[in-house]
Parts: sequence; structure tokens; C-alpha cells
Amino acid sequence: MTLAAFIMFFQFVYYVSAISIGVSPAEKEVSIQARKSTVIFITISQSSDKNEIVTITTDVPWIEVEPTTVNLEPFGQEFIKLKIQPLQPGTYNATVRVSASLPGVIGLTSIVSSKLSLSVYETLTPQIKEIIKNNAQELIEKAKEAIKNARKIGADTTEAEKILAQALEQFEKENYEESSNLAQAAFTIATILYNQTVDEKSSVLITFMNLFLITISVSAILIVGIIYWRLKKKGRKNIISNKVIVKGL
Amino acid sequence: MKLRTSSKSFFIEKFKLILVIERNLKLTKTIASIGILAIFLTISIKYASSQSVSQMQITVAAVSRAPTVGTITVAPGTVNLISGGFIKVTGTTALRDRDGGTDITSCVGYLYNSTTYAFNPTNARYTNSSCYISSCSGQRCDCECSLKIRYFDAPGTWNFVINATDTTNRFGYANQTLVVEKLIAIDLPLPYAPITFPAEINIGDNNVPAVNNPLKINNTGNVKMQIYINGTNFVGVEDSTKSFSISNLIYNSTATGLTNARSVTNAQASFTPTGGVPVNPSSVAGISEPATLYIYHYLSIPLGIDSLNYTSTYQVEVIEQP
Repeated sequence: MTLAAFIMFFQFVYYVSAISIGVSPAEKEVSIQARKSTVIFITISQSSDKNEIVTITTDVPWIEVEPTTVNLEPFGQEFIKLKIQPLQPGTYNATVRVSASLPGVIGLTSIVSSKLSLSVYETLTPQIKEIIKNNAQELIEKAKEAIKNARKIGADTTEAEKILAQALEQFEKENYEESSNLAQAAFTIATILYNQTVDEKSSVLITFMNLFLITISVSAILIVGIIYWRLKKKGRKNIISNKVIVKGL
Repeated sequence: MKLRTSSKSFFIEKFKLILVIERNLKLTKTIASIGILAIFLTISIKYASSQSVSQMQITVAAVSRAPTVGTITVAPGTVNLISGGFIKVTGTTALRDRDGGTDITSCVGYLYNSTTYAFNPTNARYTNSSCYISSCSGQRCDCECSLKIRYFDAPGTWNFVINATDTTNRFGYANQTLVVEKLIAIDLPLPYAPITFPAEINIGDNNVPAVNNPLKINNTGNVKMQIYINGTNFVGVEDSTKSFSISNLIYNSTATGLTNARSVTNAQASFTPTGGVPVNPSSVAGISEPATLYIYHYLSIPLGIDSLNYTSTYQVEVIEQP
């Protein structure tokens, strides 16, 4: 117990940070079709032990960020949707900036950036279109399976299901790239949920086992104490009765 | 075991024929139950021209079959790491053994950066020796294996390898690739942030050090970083028309001496050690803490300004080192 408390204290000390922010991927290259909107996802995270208000902005008007502000939980991770508006063929670059601030006389803002590079094609050949369609189909199946597995162990898969529904909708509209991106996001979210739920269940089991061991230990100590007390009492009685015998003699 | 058969006239010389036959589970299991996993059956048929008997020696070895590992499903297949944390990657697959699923004794998972290494268990970045084997039925078992990829692990293509071993130490393996994305992340620990100066500083005082020097910037991602610093001018709290320049705040990367100190400006200025702020566990030259950059701050209060409370903002922006 002392050791556990020490470890917890040490972890607490180790993780205390004033401000923390991260974005992944730090750079991303995407190929999309001209005049079609596309959705891509980035993840933001933090490693401090406090909630952080994080703001996400871009330096271009053709990316719509959703959400633009996130209350990020301690050691949390969130998906940010970047909706790319229909574009003409060409190459495009953008920077997505993720910032968190700390108040003070000299207020501190820390910013991390993700760089996006877009290649916008006029049309896709039927072969490439077929490949993208198959890829989307495969990702949708993977996402369905991951959601099923996560749901099976009790995870709340609402968000992943919502994104999967959007992926299916885009697939029906033959927007296969967007469908792929959405399905990939649904799959990733479901997987993270699955792992989180497994971890939570393991920790509950460990807590239960700890409680069980503590109960056993306390019981053992009590039993030993009672036996000792009874033996001591019996010994005292014997001494008294011996004294009586001696007196009687 | 020796067999004697009738001779055949086409055999002229004495010869020996050795056949190796692999047997399936049933035979192996029978023998394995008494601790033997292979049997050798020798049939010698000696052929002597002087005798009307041929003898042929046949060696039959019935051995255990190595298990096979099916296609691995890795989730997530694209890993977006968490600042200062880890992401658990799970690989699931079906193991098959013609000696029966119960012949499989262990399932081991390995994760390694295939951009850097060829696979060998000794250069695996992470190993899980006790992956979960379940649902054994007939010749098949399922294996689920989880491994953690940490925030400083190199971006690129990684391989998830699952190796299955049976009772005779025969093994089979399969691998699946996954992509670890770049993570750019910083952590500014307490009590070094925010930058704090004494509550009261005399007008005209020069180079007053921050009370919590240095500001520490930890690289909690997996790419080298370039750091940019800028700030806004100090503005009076009680009277916002009063101000003084942020250039009165100077900084450098050493605890002693102001020789190389430079002023904070409104425009972003790069402040990066040669080669960028490294990825954990490497250190910045002269600093013992891994992947940490120190910045020392000093403030001068210009003569002629009003005695007020002043505030400012200080911004640290990081990008990947080009």
C-alpha cells in the first residue's frame, strides 16, 4: 500500500505540467478530386493533469474546422474534423494551428502546427476510382467490425457509429475518398474505445483483487490477534488456577 | 522395425531407402502423451543377391507440425500518438496447428520500426510475451496481442509481428504493417511556466531575472522541433494607454551571462538549438534533462514609465524542424 501510494505520488509529481499540447499528424499529404468537398481528421492531445481549453485555427479560408474550441481532458485526445471545400485542380498548402493558453501577468500561449499539402486532380481514371471504391468498402467493413467489438465489451460507440453512418452516406453518393476518410476515423475511434474499455475493466479487476487481498490480510491479522488473545487469556487463567491450587495445597 | 519381404529380381545391389513422413496430430498426440513427440520407424529390407530375400530400410519420422499464423488485423492501422503518452496497438489473428489448437503453447507479439530495422526478435522495439490465446477449437485458436507505442517513437512504417510456438518449439509467424504518424507536441512544466517576475520592480531596474527561471520546453512528440518566440508589448492594467515595449524582456539559453541574450519582439523569432530540439531521450547540448530546452528570461523597466501594473503575452510556437 505504501509502495502504491509512493508510486501514485511520484506519477503525480512527474505529470504536473502547466501547459501541454500536441497535434498528429504533424504533416499530411492528401490527394482529392476537384470540385468535391472532402473531410480529413487530425488528433489533438495533451499530457497535463488539468483540463485545457484548446483552440484550432487555419490560415486558409477553404478549410472549415470542427470544432474550433475543445475542452481537452487531462491526458486526453480528441479528433478534429477538417472539412476541405471544393477546390480547383492544383496544389494547395495549409497550416492548422492548435493552441492552449495559460493566464498570468505574462500570459503564456503555446502553439503546435500541422502542415497540410493537397493535390487536387481534375478527374480520376475508372481504375483509380475502382481502387478508391474498394478501399472505402474495406475500411467500412473494418470500421463495422471494430464498432461491433467495442460495443460487445460495453464501450459507448455512439460517436464512431455516427461517423460510420456518414461514411456510408458518402459511399452511396459515390464520394469514395470522403467515405474512406470517415470510415478510417470511425475505425480509429472504435479501436481507441475498445482499448480504453479493456483498460478500465482491467483496472476494476485489479482494484477488486486488491480489495480481496486486503480483506484476506485484515481477516488473517484479526484471526491471529484473536487466537493470541485467547491463548494469553487461557494462560492467565492457568496461572490463576495454579495459584489457587498452590493456595489450596 | 524390420520387415522381410520376398525379393524382386530387378534389385541388383543392396540399397537403403529412407522416407520421412510427417504424421498428423493423432499420431503425435498418442506418442506425446508419454513424452515423445516424434517416432522413427525403420524398416530395413536387406537385399542380398546370395539370398532369395530382399531387405529394405525405410525411416519414417512422424514429427509435429509447426503452427501457422493467419492475417493479422492491426488496430489502429494508423497511429496518431498522444503528447507525452502512448497508444495501445492491438493485433488479432487466427493461429492454426494441424496437431490441434491445443498444441500451441504461446503467442508472442513484436513491434518494430521497419523503416529502420529488418525483423529479428532482438531488435523488436516492443515485445509482449504473454499475448492472449483463446477460443481454441479443432486446429484453430485466436490470438490477441496488445503493445504500446510511446510518444517519442519514430514516425514511419512499423511492423506488427505475431509468432506462435507449439509444444515442440516449432513456430510460425506473420506480420502486418502499420503507420506511425508524426506528432508535434510540447509540454511546459510547472513551476517554470508561466514566466513570473517579482510582484514589484523598481523603475529603471535592469535585467531582473524571472523568479522561476528557466522556462522549460519539453519535446513530447516524435519529431525534432524548431521553436519560435514572440510577445506583445506590456500594457497598463489600470490605464491601457500606458505601455512599454516587449523588447525590454530578454532571453537566452544559459543560466549565466547576458552576452548572447536577445530581445523578445512582436514578430516571431527562431530560438532553436543547432539541429532542433531533439526527440526524447536525446538531450540538448549542455542540458541534462532529455528533450528539454531551457530559456532564461530577464526584464528591464525603462525610466520614465508610469508606476502601474503591466501585463503582456508571450507566445511559444513549435513546428517540425525542416
